[in-house]
Amino acid sequence: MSKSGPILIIEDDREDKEILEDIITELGVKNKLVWLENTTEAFNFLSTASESMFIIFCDINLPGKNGLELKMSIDASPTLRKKSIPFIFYSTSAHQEDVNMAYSKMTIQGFFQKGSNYEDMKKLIKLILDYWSACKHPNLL
Amino acid sequence: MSKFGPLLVIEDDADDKKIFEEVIRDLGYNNKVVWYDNTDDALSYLQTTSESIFVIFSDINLPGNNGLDMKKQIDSDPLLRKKSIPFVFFSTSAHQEDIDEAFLKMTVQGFFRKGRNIKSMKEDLSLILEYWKACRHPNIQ
Repeated sequence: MSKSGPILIIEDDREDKEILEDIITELGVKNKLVWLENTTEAFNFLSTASESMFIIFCDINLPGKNGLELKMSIDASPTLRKKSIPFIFYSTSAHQEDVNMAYSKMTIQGFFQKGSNYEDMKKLIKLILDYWSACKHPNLL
Repeated sequence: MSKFGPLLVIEDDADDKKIFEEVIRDLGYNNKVVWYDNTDDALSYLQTTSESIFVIFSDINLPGNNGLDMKKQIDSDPLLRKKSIPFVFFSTSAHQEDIDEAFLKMTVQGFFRKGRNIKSMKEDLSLILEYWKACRHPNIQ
């Protein structure tokens, strides 16, 4: 976790990814964005990346293993556990059973439902990025 | 965890607690503030209360078991683990070793250093409460 590190977006909907990218750029955030469409690639990227990520935004419904399964794999990996990157679910759907599972079966730093319009989304993304920028970070490596 | 539930504040400095409560009221939050000045009492409260706590704010340096010790006790209590209440360190000191321990040896939902004046404290508390208000919550009892 590093404030200046890349933001990882795990999202299979290209349009949703582009909206998120536009918002982050409009907010003046300079962090590099890394976009991956499925959890297998995301897990491999996280396991091998030498850069310290700022934050992970992950969808719930994804092809192959879903977002919840990815988070469990991260928690089970001592190397990734040690990187302690804030993990945020950012999903169109927010079924109560998924929310409950996200909080009780793993440890997450937030579960947000995508806003229904651009302005709501922008407000939410700003809030999430401000929160983690204000937060003190572990000193890794 | 409920947006309308009490805020649990573990803080041994009565002045800091008073300022905290004033800032919360100034920001327009009506949540009850439950205050303990040590972690043993706070833990007993968490284990027995039927109220759905919204967010836990804990200092690091506390008499007896410190804030880090208490978080470990919460994590190792299956019932409290299941309640998955957002746990935020809100501390005057922010030694890097404490921050590292908080993120690497346990899982926290944030580590904030108390602002030096009311204005910065207001900004931080507003950010923290808005973040958890926007977040989807589990409904596990």
